[in-house]
Amino acid sequence: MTDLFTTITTNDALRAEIQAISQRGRNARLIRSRIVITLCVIALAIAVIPLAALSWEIIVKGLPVIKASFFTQLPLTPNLVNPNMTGGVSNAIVGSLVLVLYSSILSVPVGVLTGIYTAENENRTASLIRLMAQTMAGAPSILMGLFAFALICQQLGFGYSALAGSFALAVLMVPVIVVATEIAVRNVPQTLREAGLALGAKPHKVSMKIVLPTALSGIVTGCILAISRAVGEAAPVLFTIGGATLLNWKPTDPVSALPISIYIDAKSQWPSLRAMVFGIALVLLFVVFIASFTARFLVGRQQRKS
Amino acid sequence: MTTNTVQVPRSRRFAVGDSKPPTAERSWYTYVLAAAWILFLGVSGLFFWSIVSKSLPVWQKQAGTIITGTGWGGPYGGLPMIIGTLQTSLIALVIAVVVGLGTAISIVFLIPARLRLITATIVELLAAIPSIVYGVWGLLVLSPWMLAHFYPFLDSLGLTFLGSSNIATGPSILLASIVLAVMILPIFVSITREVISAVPQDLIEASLSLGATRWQVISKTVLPTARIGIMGAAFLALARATGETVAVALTIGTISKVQWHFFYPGTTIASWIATAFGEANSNDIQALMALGVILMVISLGVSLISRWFIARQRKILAKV
Repeated sequence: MTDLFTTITTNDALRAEIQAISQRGRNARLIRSRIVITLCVIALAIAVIPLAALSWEIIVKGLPVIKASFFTQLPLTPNLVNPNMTGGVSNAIVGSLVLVLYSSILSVPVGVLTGIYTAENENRTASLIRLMAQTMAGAPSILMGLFAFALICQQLGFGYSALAGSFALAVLMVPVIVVATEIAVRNVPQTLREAGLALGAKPHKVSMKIVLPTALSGIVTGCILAISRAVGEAAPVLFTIGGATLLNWKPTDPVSALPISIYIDAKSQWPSLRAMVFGIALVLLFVVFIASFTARFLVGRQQRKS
Repeated sequence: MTTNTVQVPRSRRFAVGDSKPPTAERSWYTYVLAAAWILFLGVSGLFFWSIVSKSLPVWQKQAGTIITGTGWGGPYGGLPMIIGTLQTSLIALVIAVVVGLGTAISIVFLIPARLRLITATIVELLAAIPSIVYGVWGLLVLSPWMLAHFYPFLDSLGLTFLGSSNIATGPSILLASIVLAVMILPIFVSITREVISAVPQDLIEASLSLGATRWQVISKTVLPTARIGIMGAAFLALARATGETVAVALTIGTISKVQWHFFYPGTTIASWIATAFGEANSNDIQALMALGVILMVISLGVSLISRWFIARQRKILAKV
């Protein structure tokens, strides 16, 4: 009695039949594989289309709007006599700069120092801070607006002001900075720290003279990303900054911001104002992409160094 | 005593058995760090307390109506906003997961290595675009296009339950959902990409060595291993979708009405807060703060689930 293996290897007809069956199965599997792979690549194309469409529309419609007066003039309201009288968005540009400045002053020191603390301490406080930072980073940005409105505008009586808007943005930025700083500081090799301590340096000297300079590019990257997110956010400042059409800069003054100008003009009845929106969006996209590329460049340089 | 003793500074003295080594000494630096984290925790705590306490009168007077009611003003009903938030974010999630899964698989396994970096970069640039820009694109570009082509197309398929393309005006639940889908896609893709590229290479090679086709490797080995992490990515995207404000406020039409016809306007919690805050009196503001609390609960709950999934995926990957 022969075993199965001998039967197959000696019986040509049987072997051919088995090969045919397996070939058929293989073909079916390959066809199915190709179909699904094609679908995946189509999905990739669908995912990239919005970026292409969006950038194209905004560049093509935005560039004609941008001229010198766009940056230097205050906004004007078109009327029936002058339907194209739109002025510029200098108030929003100044407002956005002011908001970024004040919110960075409020958020960067607190965020960086808190991040250093969580990176260098492994205790209950550190895990509570970590939990809080992750929770705050996931909270919807409109809630920061509600918070700043309740606390700064109402409770502390500042009303609609650059301070309230900056505070809302700072609450948004701090968790981002805390998380980024913690990662950057943790990535500093332990041996560097130990070398410093072995030379007799005090812990805070090690922290400031060794750990911080090494982690600096990571921290700066985190701050850039936080700022670029704050520049584009409309929800936290929607009902905290007042949307002034003047060149205000004091913390207690109401100001405007680029996203707010977009939000208001996009709903306008005037086609000339709706056209302006693309120009403002282009400026905003430009700022955000520059920030994103700078952050990428810094991360890349850091990776090459280490 | 001899004159040879070295004076040890007080801060440096320690005895065997001390709980803390001398390196744990306190300096001004410790206090600066402590000031920073106390400020951080204080403001974070104040964040939750302040929104909750402002809405307290609403919860005391009409806790039921704010969740189940449908009118706005008089008794404040939040049902249209809650339903709208769930509708838009779930439709967006379905679109984003279907497209995003294909995208992530393509980026990791299918396209040539030189295209991989640039595609990943493009998808991540999408994440950096401010939401207001998506909103403008949705309102001024996508909405007219959908009105002219997409609604009639869906109509011609006989999907009458969505509404009629003749009555549709542009802003709608469907438009807001599509804009949201585009917005949450990069988040879903970037996390899914990380999760599936973390699947160990030897599992993939073992599967290939058994004669599996590329799709079999993906469907039988990669996706089951990465399943939990992909769920985490989906929930994170969902959390972003529920909290999105201005893009939705521009594209959904913000009408306080439970809307089941997706061609017509509706509202969400976040977009309603943004729109109604402009002309709100002090009672309105309390109700809007209460809506804020509901939004906080929904979106923090979803992101908590997502974090739990992602942590579990880490454990799974540590095991295999």
